[in-house]
Amino acid sequence: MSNREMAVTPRFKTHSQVWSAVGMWAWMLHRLTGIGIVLYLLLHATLMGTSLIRGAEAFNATLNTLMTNPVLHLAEIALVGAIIYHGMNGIRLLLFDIGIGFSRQKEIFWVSMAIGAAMWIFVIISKLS
Amino acid sequence: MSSQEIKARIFRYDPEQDVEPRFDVYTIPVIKNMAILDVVFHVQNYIDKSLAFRCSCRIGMCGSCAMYINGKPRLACRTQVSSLGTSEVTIMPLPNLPIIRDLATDMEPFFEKWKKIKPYYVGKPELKDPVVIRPDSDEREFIDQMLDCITCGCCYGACSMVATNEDYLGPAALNRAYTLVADKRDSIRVERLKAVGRSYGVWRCHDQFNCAEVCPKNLVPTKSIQQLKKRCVMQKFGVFK
Repeated sequence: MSNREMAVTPRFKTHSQVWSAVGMWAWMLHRLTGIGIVLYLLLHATLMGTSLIRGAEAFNATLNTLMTNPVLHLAEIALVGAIIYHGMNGIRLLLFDIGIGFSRQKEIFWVSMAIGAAMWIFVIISKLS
Repeated sequence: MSSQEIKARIFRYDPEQDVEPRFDVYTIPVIKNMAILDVVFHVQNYIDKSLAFRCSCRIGMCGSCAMYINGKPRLACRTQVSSLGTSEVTIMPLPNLPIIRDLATDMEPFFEKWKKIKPYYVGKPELKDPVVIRPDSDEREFIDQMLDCITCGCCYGACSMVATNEDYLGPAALNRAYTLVADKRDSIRVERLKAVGRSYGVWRCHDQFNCAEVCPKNLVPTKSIQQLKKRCVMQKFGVFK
């Protein structure tokens, strides 16, 4: 088989990835939190929409049901965590976009995660107290 | 690790005979300063002559022996067995490239993309050789490190964006494009920039840094890609000429 023929024949490839690096996980988590936040925004807009579609009382009743549910309060903590992660990693990516920190990307990740974790712990403590 | 042995799980696949790939396990005596390339040579010389792999210089400058070794694309000749910190080594062909046989991959798609960015210098016709750009002048942009690429394809195999999209040019080609776009004597810089400034060019990069993680020459293609992105935007605004 000539090289040219071989190049156009579909052949087996592996798609193994590099999972030992921080950048891969940072990217994966950025995607997941991003999708999560978009889904939350859709739900949020739907909830807010009930006030327009079904009036003030229906809106209050829905909000009351939701906000007395302890599971949703925990989900809210997760939501804040996702937003903090997405925001902090977003700042890290913006730094790269303006050309800063390529040789220190891992350190920047861990510093932004430390700041993010502090923020999240603060939110959790103030919510639970 | 002198009198020790290692267990090498080696990926075996012959597209003309095998329906599916398999792993063969070999036990190999470890010698002093043994590299992964020595491991595959040991298998080929003493255990199974049919093992196929590619290598040439054995000193990390030709870029032929890139393989996926214990979860990372690396140069087999520059990866010491002792540096892996384990007695089990899994050796697979470079990901994202078609397999010719066993550990030898077809680099054709890699170099097809390399060609797309026109990887050669095209001088401005009005310039008389030799053109001098002084090292300390503003015109001289920092590309020294980016020039060290040996086209081994490790970054190409590590990139998830290449894995999920066959059209993406990949880190190596874009890194090469940057070294040429940054050269003020080059006459087709804008043309080159247009070739990379597409959704499957620079804009496909998502700052994962897998390429930088695995580069045997410690290059950071992500940085070159960012520099290209910057110039693409400048070019759209008419600032880059």
